[in-house]
Amino acid sequence: MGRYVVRRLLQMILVLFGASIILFVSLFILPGDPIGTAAGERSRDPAVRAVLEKRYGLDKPIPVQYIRYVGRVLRGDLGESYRQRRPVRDYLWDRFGATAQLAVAAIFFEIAIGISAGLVAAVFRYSFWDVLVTLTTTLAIGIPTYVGGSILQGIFAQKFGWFPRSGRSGFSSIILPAFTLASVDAALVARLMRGTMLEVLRADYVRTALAKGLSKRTVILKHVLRNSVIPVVTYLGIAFGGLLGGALITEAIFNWPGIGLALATAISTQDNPIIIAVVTYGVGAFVIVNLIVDLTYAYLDPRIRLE
Amino acid sequence: MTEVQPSVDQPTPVRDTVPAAALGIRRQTQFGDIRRRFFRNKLAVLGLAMVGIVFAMAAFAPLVAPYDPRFQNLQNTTAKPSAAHWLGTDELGRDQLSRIIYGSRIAIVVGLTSIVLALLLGVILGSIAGYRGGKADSIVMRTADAFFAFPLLIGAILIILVTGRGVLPVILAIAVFTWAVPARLLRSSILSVREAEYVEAARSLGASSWRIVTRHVLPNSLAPVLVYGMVSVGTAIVAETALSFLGVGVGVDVPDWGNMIAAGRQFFGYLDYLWLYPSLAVVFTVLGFVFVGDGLRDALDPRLR
Repeated sequence: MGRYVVRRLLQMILVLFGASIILFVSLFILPGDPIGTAAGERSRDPAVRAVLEKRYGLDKPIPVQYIRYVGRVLRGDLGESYRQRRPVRDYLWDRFGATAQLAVAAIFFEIAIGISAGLVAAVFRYSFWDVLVTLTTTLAIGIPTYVGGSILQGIFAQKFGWFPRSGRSGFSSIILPAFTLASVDAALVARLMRGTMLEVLRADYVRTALAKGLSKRTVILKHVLRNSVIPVVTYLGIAFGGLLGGALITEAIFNWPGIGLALATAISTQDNPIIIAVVTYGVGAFVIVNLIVDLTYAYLDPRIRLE
Repeated sequence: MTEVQPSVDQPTPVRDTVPAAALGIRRQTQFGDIRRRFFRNKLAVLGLAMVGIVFAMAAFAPLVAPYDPRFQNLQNTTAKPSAAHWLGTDELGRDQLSRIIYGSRIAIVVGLTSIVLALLLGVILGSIAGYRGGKADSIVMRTADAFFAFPLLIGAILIILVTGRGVLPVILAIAVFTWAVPARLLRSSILSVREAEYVEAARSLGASSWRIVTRHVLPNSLAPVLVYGMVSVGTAIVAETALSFLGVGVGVDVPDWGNMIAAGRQFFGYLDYLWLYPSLAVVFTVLGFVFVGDGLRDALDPRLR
């Protein structure tokens, strides 16, 4: 296990290195003249320019600039927002709570809806329920988030008034955005669950369990469910990493004050430091959660470590 | 989808044998099987028809659209659907139906070119990684890992931030953050094909690497990549409209579904047809590609069903 952990850690560092290069290159060629912005009219004076370039380290060779950039990111220094007039880190930290809350609620929906729908579809294969699950999941996958979210908002908030239309105000306000956010993943979980369960149902040990006289109910709950839930758990873990990175579209539609909404706002106000920070943070969250999922998986299933 | 056409499992007929047709034997090709299985699947045929409609709309937009999609009539803004304007007019008095019809052009162009580009990149890099192995493999796959760490939408925003808005930037942005998946798929299926006996046979006959890869390895390992490509055209269209929705898409002056939905949402709750109809156009198109992709997957490998 120890060697596997080390290997995966090294791999993660490599991925983060590659991602940071992509980010650094984008930063570097981002349009705009930072010196001109800072110094205004005076930036035409070469002497002023040289002083400022020296102060911000822009006269250093590119590799040195890259290392300084990585150092800043690791210290959590993500620059200062143009519009908010405060450090990006503090601004995003305020928003993280809302995003985390939404992510947890969405995962809850994914588990509850995805696993039970997949279970029903597999156990009653080719029945009306199976067809219903297949159709619904196809629709959920085919309908873009911003369309599905708008429609849910139109029906349940605007027309019936069961939930608040937008914003973050108490328990009822989280239902619609969390459901919207969960819909695609819940559909994929249901399909995955159905597929693996059908496979497990064919396994020899299931036949043995049935042959020795256990009821179908016991076999499904005790033997089949446990063995088919492993890939689903892996999938959910990876999905959670993506969710923590902020739900761009969902948060924008429901005006949910999380990291995704911060990004959407920053795009419309061209607040580049925030955009870059959110992207950096999103990539980091995704990679780290992926690593945790892989390690957990390797811990549960020793065969993985040998690969 | 004609790339899968050659019946790879069939031995090449020797020239001087009697053609099968002359003996009255109907030749069963692998492609024929795939086609038969595909057309037996009702959902796949429905998907093909849906995609066909969107293609026709895009190709014949000037003939089908009742108005110029950019023509503004400020005397007649946000008009309800009527005989003159079947789907109403937007906040600048432009005909919604014509804009939806023209919007199919952007959707199709961006969806297809970005995925074709991503597949090309993925196939080239994936086959180098899979067939050459060693150092080339680790370089390509670690690069793929780095790109894979970016969610599609987030990565695309980053690129468009650098290049500015426009059709070409959106295509590139989607392609750049999509190629890693087909590259991985192709690499792993090449790894399983590479040691097959027919590849070994070709190698022992002195075939060049190029010939082995293009003639023997690729035809046998392309199937998952093609299925992925078909479904991702839908994903690419969703990404394109989502980018427009967020204001970093193809540009506001272009008749585009994402733009229409974003503009229409300002009238949420009282003029809902403004965002609902373009949304339906997106759903229709995406579902079409998903159905075709699913049908193709089942037809190529019936065991996966």
